[in-house]
Amino acid sequence: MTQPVDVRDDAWFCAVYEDQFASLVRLAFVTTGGTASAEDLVQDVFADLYRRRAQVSDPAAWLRRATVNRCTSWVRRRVLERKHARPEPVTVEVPLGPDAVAVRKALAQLRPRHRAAVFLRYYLDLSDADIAAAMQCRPGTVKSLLHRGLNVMKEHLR
Amino acid sequence: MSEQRIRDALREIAGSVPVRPDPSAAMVTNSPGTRKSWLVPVMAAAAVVLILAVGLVSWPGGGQQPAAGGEPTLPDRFPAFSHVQGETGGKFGRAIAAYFNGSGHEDFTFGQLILASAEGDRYREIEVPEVDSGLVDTRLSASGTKLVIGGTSMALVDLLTGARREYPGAAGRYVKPLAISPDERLVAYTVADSRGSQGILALLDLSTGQRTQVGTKDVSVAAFSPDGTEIAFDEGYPDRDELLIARLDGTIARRIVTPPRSSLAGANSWSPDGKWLVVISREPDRYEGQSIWAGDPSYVFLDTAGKAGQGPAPVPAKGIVPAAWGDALLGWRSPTSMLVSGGDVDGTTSNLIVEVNVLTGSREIVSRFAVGPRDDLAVGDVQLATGLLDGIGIRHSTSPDRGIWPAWAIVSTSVCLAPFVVAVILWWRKRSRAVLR
Repeated sequence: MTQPVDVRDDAWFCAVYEDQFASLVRLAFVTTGGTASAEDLVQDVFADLYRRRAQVSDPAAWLRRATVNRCTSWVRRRVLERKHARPEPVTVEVPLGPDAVAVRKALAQLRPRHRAAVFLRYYLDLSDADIAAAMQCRPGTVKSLLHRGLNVMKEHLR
Repeated sequence: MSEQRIRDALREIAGSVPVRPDPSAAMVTNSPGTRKSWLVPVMAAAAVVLILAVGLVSWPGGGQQPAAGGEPTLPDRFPAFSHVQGETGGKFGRAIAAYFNGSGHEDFTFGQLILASAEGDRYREIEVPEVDSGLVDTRLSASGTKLVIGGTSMALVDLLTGARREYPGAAGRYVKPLAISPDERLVAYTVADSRGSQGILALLDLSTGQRTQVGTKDVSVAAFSPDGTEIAFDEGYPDRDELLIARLDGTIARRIVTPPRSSLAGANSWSPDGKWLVVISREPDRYEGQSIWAGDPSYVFLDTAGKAGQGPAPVPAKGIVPAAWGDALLGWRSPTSMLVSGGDVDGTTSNLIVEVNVLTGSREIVSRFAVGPRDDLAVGDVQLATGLLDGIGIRHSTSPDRGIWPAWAIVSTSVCLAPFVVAVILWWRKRSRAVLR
């Protein structure tokens, strides 16, 4: 059995963590819709990065790609769970302004990859090429994801 | 709304997420493992070839058959979801477990109800209908030889003979089986407007078809007493802080006050000696700034006679409540040792069966359900044959016997392979002729 390692001994890893953690949690939150799940998923991504740090040359891009992948998988599993599970008591919403509430509701109508694309463009201001790298697709597909995502959102924001 | 307003709103949403960077939270095990990039496709290709070999060449004859009347055991590992899972029409043999296994995509979701043999690593899907895009609720009997299937009506499947008996439901209503009595004569069930709703509790006598209404409304969990003479149930969860215990004629025998935010731990909530009822009680939610943290759950043991402070001390249940859905308490391995459905005891999100000592609170993982390398497989509604659990041994699982491929898989694989086989034959004949010339 392997022993736990304290990652604080690794300055490179700590710097990447400090720099990227917040934006990745926000990306995961927008994709999954939950704070706790977002933090858990991003922690897992960083744990994965730590194991592979010797092979990762562009950690920011790698982290975005890994986060989108994990979030998509997580949402897929939740889709199944929600279909079959007994309804849970209602959770309390964090107070937001009217525009943010409307956008959050509209985001909930999107598929996870569409949500991720919208976030990467409008929060992180990434280019099509960077979003494509994060989502492991072609830049043309990014345009399509953004176009369809925004159309669905605007439909619900009318 | 303009794109700029969308951008601003998105920033507000993202800004509302409380983030506490803490690299120490990323404590990891040091297993660098250099993986070659070509390894995955090669392994996948090898797996495909292997599956084809197993599915089309080795079968039939390779599947291990159950040792009739053998000692029941619980596997230490349940296999992951598979699209090429073999099916049973109902004649399966004694099952130790029934559980939902699924794989999901936003456009395509797949769900299976799987039976696990009590005697060996044999697994089969049993076909159950869907209602509201989800598989209907089912209930495995204590002996593992009967399965009750809910939905728009109720059906009883004898897993030893494959015989099936139908019990009509009410038009437009959803029938959900909640518990089967220890003697397997009665089924407690609810009738509700839709799947997932609480409903009116009733008992069905499986031999005569006679029905007896018990609860009035809003029942979601019920549990028969070990001697089969009483039934406990939640009514009006989560608003009411009491459990009701009824006799089998439907009259209420007594009420038991529960801690706030409590619910019965499932169909096996009575301890084997009938002294305690187990409920899951949750602490109030905590508010920290803009964050809301769900209160921690505990297993609480209530005296079935209604006397306060008689049972064992509560056992913290963080990580040992179902990761997805289904009963929390799956059964009893001894009078003081319960098997519960767990989620992340060891830091993974795997679904687990965990043994908990109710006197000491100590816990041990006894079985795992594979959730896939990307953690996107769903396991839910795990049920065990509770009558087989007393002192049951845990067996080391080897390669699971999933049975012959379903017909669609054989047909589609054959269609895909046919051109390749024809091409090889044509090439071989052409080559043979060339050699003869």
